[in-house]
This record gives sequence, structure tokens and C-alpha cells, in this order.
Amino acid sequence: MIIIGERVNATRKAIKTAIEQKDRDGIISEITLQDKYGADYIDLNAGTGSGTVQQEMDDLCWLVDIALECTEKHLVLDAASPEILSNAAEHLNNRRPWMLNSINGELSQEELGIIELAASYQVPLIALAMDSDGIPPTVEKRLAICETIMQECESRGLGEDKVFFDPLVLPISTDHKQALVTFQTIAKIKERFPKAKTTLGLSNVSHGLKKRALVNGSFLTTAACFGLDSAICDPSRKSIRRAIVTGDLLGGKDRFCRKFSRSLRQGLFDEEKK
Amino acid sequence: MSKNKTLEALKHAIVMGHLDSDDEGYDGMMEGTPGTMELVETALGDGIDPQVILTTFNEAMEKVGVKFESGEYLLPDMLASAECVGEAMDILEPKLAAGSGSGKGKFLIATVKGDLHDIGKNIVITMLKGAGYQVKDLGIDVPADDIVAAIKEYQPNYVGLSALLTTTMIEMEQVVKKIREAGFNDVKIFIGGAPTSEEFAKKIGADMHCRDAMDTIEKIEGTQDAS
Repeated sequence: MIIIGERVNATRKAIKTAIEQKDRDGIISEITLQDKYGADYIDLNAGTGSGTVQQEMDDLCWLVDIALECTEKHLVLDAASPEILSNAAEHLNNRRPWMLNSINGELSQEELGIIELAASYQVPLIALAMDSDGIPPTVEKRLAICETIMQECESRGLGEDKVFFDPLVLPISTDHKQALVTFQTIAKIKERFPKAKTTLGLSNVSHGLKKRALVNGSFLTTAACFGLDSAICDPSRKSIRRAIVTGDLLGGKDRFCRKFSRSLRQGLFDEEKK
Repeated sequence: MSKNKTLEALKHAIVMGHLDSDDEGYDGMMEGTPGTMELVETALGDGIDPQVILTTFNEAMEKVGVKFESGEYLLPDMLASAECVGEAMDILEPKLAAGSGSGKGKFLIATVKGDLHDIGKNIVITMLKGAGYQVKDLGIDVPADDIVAAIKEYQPNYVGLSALLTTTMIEMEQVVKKIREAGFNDVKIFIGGAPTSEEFAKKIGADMHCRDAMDTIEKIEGTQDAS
């Protein structure tokens, strides 16, 4: 499982504050925490929602500089505007392997610009299975959006192997079949685009429920069994790490159950002391 | 690398289940370092006697057996090591055959008619290969006559019969009877599977009862020492 650490996102209040106050140490601790717990990529999002485009541009470069200094992990440049991403890409200058987050099936000029940016650097791009009408509730519609996105990517020189599809998930509290829709969408994407990867954010599934860590973890484990390649998540949470290890174990990705047994030895599955 | 160091490294690679340089090994840190396959080639290239290499395999698997018995290793860890030896035997076997006596003998194995279980049988196969035996697997649900025919063709030193059901363990009795009736009195018959027991083995005239894969290895090695 490719783990994309989601913590450095300005939609979180602590990160928004850290960016606004240029709290370097605050950001460093967020990054190194995820590094320590096995993130493969560190997502960097500077969209505080309160500043100008120029401000977000500068802030994202500031995050990139910090990340380059405090971790060896790969980076994810996360923003909605191609100008901001393009500027950050130029600043990063391939000093580290990286990818882009994200576009969706709306395919506005902005999004086409992001596809072109990904193509020009030949880096992976996360693509969400939704469009201007939102997240469709059916497998068929989500897959149709993926088809459209893939056509646009390929016509702009971004190959199937560079696309990470996020099948997305709607809360099961309002439609109890929605986790299943996500699992089936993952399987369909893998079937239709065997070279593409799938990734997934988790927390939406348990919106409005209790014991959310349990629900999110079970959701991730099951998604792994349906072929999920990557998760956008917080690996510093034990429930997430457990879900990833058991997902790889049950999903047929853990030869000789080695990751499982290593995690066992490291105490990942020990009972919590009350 | 001196010959001793090569053999030490080989033993370590097997204990760690480190198949080749692409493999991560038991501790997950060994990718990129020479594994069992590379080290066997190195050992042969250094002119180490294939028989000595075989001894190293055995020492390594004994160590793995101890780790498994103590609970330090899980079943898949032990299978990873056994797979290393099984794969390495493919390289070593022709060299052994060129010299004196080859390997430790041939083992024919089957799950008896009416029984479709093969997990236990397959673990035993991996372990036997790991211990240096040539194994012929007839599969599951195998009629007695097919087993007898295979003995004729393959001339094994040992026959292993597996059954997981109380109903199919009765079939074992028929198989043993037919093997002996066909005149194969020297072939050693091993039986195993959850419902079987020492007493049952005695009653039907089998030579050995094996509780599990490790027990099979210990008992078969015992017959080797005796001969």
C-alpha cells in the first residue's frame, strides 16, 4: 500500500495557523511524524482559503522547502490551481520524486492545465471520480467519469500508468450501500485501466457515525482486498496502520505474511493498556 | 569471501528466508544483498563440495525448526526458509547426482481418495524439499490404485498419505494394504492428518505417524540415521 500522508493540509486548523504564522517547527513535526510512521508520500496543501493566489503560491513553496529539509520522502503538491502547482513544481525542480493532487471529471480549463503540467513533468496525477454534479452514487457513473478523464490525459501525453484514480466514497450513514459502491468502483477501475493506480481518502465513509476509527480502518482493509493501491490517510494513527497491514495481508500483497509478522513483533497489534 | 564465510552467509540467508537479492527477508532489510540463490552459486563457484552445501542447508533448517518450535517463527516464516532450500536444491541436485549418492531419497505423497484437503500436505512437501528430499506430489482425492501405479513408476523410498476426515482415514487402510499386496514391502509409509494417530498408524500397518510437518522431518531424518 502506498501511503500518502494527509496531515499537512491547510483545511486543518492547526496547519492553517502554522502557515499563517510561519511556524516552521510546527510543520516539521507534522511531516516527520508521518515520515516516522511509514508515509511514502507527504501531501502538501497550502490552501488556507483566506489569502490571495500569490499568497498560496508562496506558502506552498515554503512548505516544499521545509519538506525537502526534514524528510527524504516523496512529495505531493496539492492545490486546485495550475498556476500555484506549476510555480511549486518549478520551485521543487525535481529535487525529489513527486506527484500532483488533484483533478476531477469537471475538466475545466484549470484542470486541463493541471493535466498538462503532469504530462510536461511526466509525474503521477490524482484524479477524482466526480464531476460538476458532485460524486455520483453509482459505480457506472464513476467509471464513466474515469473514462473521460483518461481520454483527456492520454490526449495530452499523460499515460495510464501515471494516473491515480480516487473512486471516492459517500457517507454510509445516509446511504448504507455506498462503501460497497466504492469497493466495486475500485475493482472496475483496475479491470478497465490495469496500469492505473487507485487511491482513496477514508474519513467521508464514517461521517455521522461513531467509532469512526474502527469504521475507517475496516473500510481501508476491505478496499485493499478489492485492489486499492494507495490511501490518503494519517499513518500516525494506529488504527490506520493496523488497517493497512491487515489489508495487504488479506489482499494478497504480503508474501509469507512478513509485514504482518513484523508488525506483530513491533507491537502494532498489542492490546491497548487501559 | 572465504569458503567458511560463504557458508555462514548461506546459512543466515536460509534462516532469514532470504531467497534472492530481490527478496526482503525475515527482517525486511535484506533487499539488494545476496540471497540463498546467489550464495549457492558463489559456493559452487568457490569449489565447495555440494555435499557440504547440503549439510549447510540442513543446519539452517534445523535452526529454523527450533525458532518455529519456540514460537519465534510463524508458519509462513518457516515456509519461506523451506522455499529457499527447495529452490536452491534445483541448482544443487545435478551437482550432487554427478558425485556420489544424491540427496536423501524420493518421497511420494498424496491425499487419499474422497478427501480434498491439501494445505497440510503442501506444507509437508515444502518442508521435505527444504530438507533435501525429492518429492512427487500426486495431489488430492487419489485412488489407491493410482498410488500403487505411481510407486511402480517412481520407485520412491517413502510414501506419505494424508487425510483430514474421519471417513477418509479408513481409505488409508486400503491404500496401505494394496501397497503391501503389490509387493512393495521396503517402501516406508508415513501417514498424517488431524484424525490420525500413532495407534491408528500401527493398526493399519503404516510405518510412521506424523503430527505435523516438523514431526515428519524429525521422523524421516530418524529413519535416515538408522539406515
